[in-house]
Amino acid sequence: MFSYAVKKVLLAIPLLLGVSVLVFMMMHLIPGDPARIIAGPEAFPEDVEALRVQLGLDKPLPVQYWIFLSHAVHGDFGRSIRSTRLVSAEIKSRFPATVELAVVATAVSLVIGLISGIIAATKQNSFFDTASMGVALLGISIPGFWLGLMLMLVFSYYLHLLPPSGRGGGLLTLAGWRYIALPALSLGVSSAASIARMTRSSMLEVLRQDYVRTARAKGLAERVVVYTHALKNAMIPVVTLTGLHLGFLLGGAVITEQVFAWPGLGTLVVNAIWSRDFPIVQGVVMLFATTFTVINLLVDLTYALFDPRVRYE
Amino acid sequence: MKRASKKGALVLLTALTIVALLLTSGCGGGKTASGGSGGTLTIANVTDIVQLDPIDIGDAPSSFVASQIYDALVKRDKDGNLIPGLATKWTPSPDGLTWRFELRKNVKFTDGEPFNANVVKWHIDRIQAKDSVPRFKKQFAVIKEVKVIDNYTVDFVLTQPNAAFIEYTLMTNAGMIPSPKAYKEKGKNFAFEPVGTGAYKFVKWTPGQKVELVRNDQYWGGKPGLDGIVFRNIPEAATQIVELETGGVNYISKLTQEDIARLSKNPKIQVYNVGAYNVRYLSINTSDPILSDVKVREAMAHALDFKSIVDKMLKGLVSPGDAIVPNTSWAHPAKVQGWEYSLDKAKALLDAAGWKVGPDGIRTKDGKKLEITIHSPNGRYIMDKEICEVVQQELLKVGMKVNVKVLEWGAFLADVQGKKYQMAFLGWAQSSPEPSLFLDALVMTGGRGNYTSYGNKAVDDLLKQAIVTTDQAKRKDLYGQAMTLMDKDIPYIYIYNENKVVAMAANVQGYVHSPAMNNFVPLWVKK
Repeated sequence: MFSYAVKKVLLAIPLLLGVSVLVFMMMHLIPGDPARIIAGPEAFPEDVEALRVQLGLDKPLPVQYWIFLSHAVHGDFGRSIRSTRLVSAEIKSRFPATVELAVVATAVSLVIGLISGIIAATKQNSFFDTASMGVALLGISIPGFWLGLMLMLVFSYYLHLLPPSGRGGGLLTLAGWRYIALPALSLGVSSAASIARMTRSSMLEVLRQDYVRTARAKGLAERVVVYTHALKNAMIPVVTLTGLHLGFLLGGAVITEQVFAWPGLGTLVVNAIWSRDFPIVQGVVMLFATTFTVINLLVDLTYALFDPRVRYE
Repeated sequence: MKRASKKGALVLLTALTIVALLLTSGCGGGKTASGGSGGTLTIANVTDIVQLDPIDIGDAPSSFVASQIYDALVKRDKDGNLIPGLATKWTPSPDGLTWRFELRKNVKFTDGEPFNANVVKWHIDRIQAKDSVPRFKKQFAVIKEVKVIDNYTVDFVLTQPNAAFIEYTLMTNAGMIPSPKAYKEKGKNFAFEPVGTGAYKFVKWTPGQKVELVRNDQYWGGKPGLDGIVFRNIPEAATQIVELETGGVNYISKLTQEDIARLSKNPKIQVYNVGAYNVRYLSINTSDPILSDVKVREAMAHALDFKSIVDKMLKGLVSPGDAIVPNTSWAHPAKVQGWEYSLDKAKALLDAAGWKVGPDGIRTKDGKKLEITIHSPNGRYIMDKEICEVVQQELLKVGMKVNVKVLEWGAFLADVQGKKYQMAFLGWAQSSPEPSLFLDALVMTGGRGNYTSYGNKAVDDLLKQAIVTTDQAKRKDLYGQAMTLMDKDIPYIYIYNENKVVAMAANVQGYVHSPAMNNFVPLWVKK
C-alpha cells in the first residue's frame, strides 16, 4: 500500500508539470494585452509600455515560463500583477473560506444523499423511492445560482432568519455557521442529488448479490444486512463521486461564491482571469491540480477500507 | 400515508436543523454594532479593493476607499468645481508656468506625522522617481519640479503652461497624499496598511470580504459624522439589493432599471440619481474602406435614433448622448450637432455615395456589399450588446448589413486598439468634468483614446490653444468650436452618458449626491 501511494505521488509530478505548461500557455495565448487591461483603457500608452517592462511581459515566452517554473518549484508564484501582494498570501487569505464551504457542503450532500439513497433502494418502487428520485432529478437540474437566490429570498428576505451574504468568523463561532448555512445548502443540494441516485443504484446492485441473500438466509436482521453487509460494498462508487465533488468544490464554487459574496478562491481566480493577473491564475490552478490529485489518491486508498478484496500492489 | 409521512419527516428534520441553528445564534447578521450616535455606513462594492498606495490605484473600488483615507491638495465640490483641500489657495504666475500653493497649517497624518511643504515635495518626487510605479507618470510629467518656498508654501514649476494641470495631476488617484513616515516604515506593506490625513482611518482589510474604516477624530475638516465606514465586497446585484433591504448594507450602487423602479417605492430606501463624467458612443474606424466615406457615416447618424432607443431601454439609468464631453461638464455646448432621425435622409446619402439597393435589400457598390461588423463588449457598458443588436436591425432598414461581434473585454480591447475593427461600442470615463480629458484623448490626432484614425488639423489647433488658455469662458468657446468642426466629420455617434445611481437606506442623513467623488464627512445614521 505504501509503495502504491509513493508510485501515485511520483506519477503526479509529470501531471502537474503538464498542467503548469497548459496554464502558462493558455493565459498567454488568449487575446488581450495584460499591460493594457491592467492600466485601463484611459491610460497613456507610455505608461502602458513602462508597465509591460516592469511586469517582465516584454521577455520571450519561454523565458517567462522558465522564470515562472523555477520559482514555482520553491512554492513561490510571485506577486499579483494588480495588487503586488504575494500570490501565496492572496491564496492563504482565501483558501480557508473555500475549504470551509467545500467541507460543509460535502457533509450536507452526504447526509441528504446517503439517507435518501439508502431508503429509496431498500424500499424500491415505493412512493418514497419515486418521490425522492424525482426530487433528486430536480436537484441536479436546478441551476445553483437560482437555488441560491431562492434560498436567500426565503431565509433572509422573507423570514429574516439568516444573513444573505458574507462570511462569519469561521466554524468555531455561531455567526460562522449562520453565514455558511445558505451557500453550503445550495451547493450541497445539487451534489446530494447525484449522490442519492448513485447510492440507490449501487445499493440495488449489491442487495441482489449472493452474499446478501446468504446473510438474510442465516437469519440476520434486515437492518444489519443493509447497513453492515450491503452498504459497505455499495460505497465504492459513492466515495468516488463524493471525492470528485469535493475536488470541484475545493476549486472554488465560482457562481455560489459570487451569489453569496463568499470570499473564496473561485472569485479570486475569475477576477484574475478577467484582469489577466497571470501569477494569481497560475498559482490557484496549480493549487487546484494538486488538491485534486491528492483527493483522488485518498479516494483510491479508501477503497480498501470498504472492500477487503481490494489490494494495492 | 406512512411513506409520505417519512418523507415529510426528512424535510422536517432538515428544516428543524436550520431553525435550531438560527435560534441558538441570537442576533449577529451583517450589521456592525455601533456604540456612538453616528452609526456606520456599510457600502456594497462589486469588486474587492486591489491595494491602497495612491500612486498605483487604477480601479474604482480602491479609489473609493482611498478617497476616505487620504486628502489631496485640492478637492471637488458637488458641482465639480475645485475647492481647497490640503492647500488653502493656489495661483498661477502670469506666464502660467509656476503655480504657487499655500498649504493648510496644523494638519497631521493619523500616525502623528505633520503635513507640510516637504511632504508635498516628497510625494511628487516619489511619483516621478525613475523606479516608481508607472501608472500616473506620464500625467505628472507636466510637472518639472516642486520647489519648497517655506514650510507651508510650495511652487509647482511646469514644463509648459497647462490650464488643466491640477486636473491632470492633483485630482487623479496619485494626487492623494500618504504619510511619508508610515510609508518609510512599512515599505511594500504600506499599500495594505495606509495612513493619510483623511476623515476616516484605515482599520483592517479582510481580502475578498471587507475593508473597515473608523472616524478620524483629529480630522482638519471637523469631526466626521459617522463612527465608521465598512466597504463590503458583494459581486452580485441581486444580493446587494437583498442586503440593502434586510439592513446588511445601507449603500449600494449596482442597480438595474427594474430595481430603481421597485426601490423608489420602498419608504425605507432612498434612490439618488445624477449624471456622471462619462460618454458612451459608437467609435467609427475612419480608415476602413467603407466607413472612410463621410456620407456613409452621416447616413448612419441619421438612421440611428439613439435618443428613443435609450429612452425605451434604459430610462433612469442613462441620459441620451449628444456630444463628446458629458452633459455634466462645464464645457458641454449649449448647441449640439444632433442628427435628425430620418431614414429618407439616410437612404438619400447612401444613394449619393453610390450604394444602390440590391435584389436582397442590401446595398452594393462595384459588386461589393454594404456590410460592416460592429464590435461589442459584453456587459462592460449598460446593455452594450443589446444596443448593438438594435443598431443591427435599424441599419438594415436603410440597406446596411451589420454583423455584431461580441467579445470578452480583453479580446475586445486588443482588436479596437489594434484598429482591427470597423465600428465599436466604446466608452470613456473620467473622475472630472475637465473637457480636455475627453477631447484631447478622443478627438486629437493620435489621442490616447482615439481609435477612429480620425485627425483634423483645425480641430487639433483649437484644442492646443484651449489647454494653454486660463480663462474658463474662453476655453469653453474654443472647445465648442472644436466640437462643432469635429462633429461634421462624424468619427463618433453618441449613444448615452451613464448616470451615477445610488440606493441608500433612508435613515442615512446628510448625503449629497454628485457626479464627483463622495464626501462622507457630513453623513450620519439616524437610529
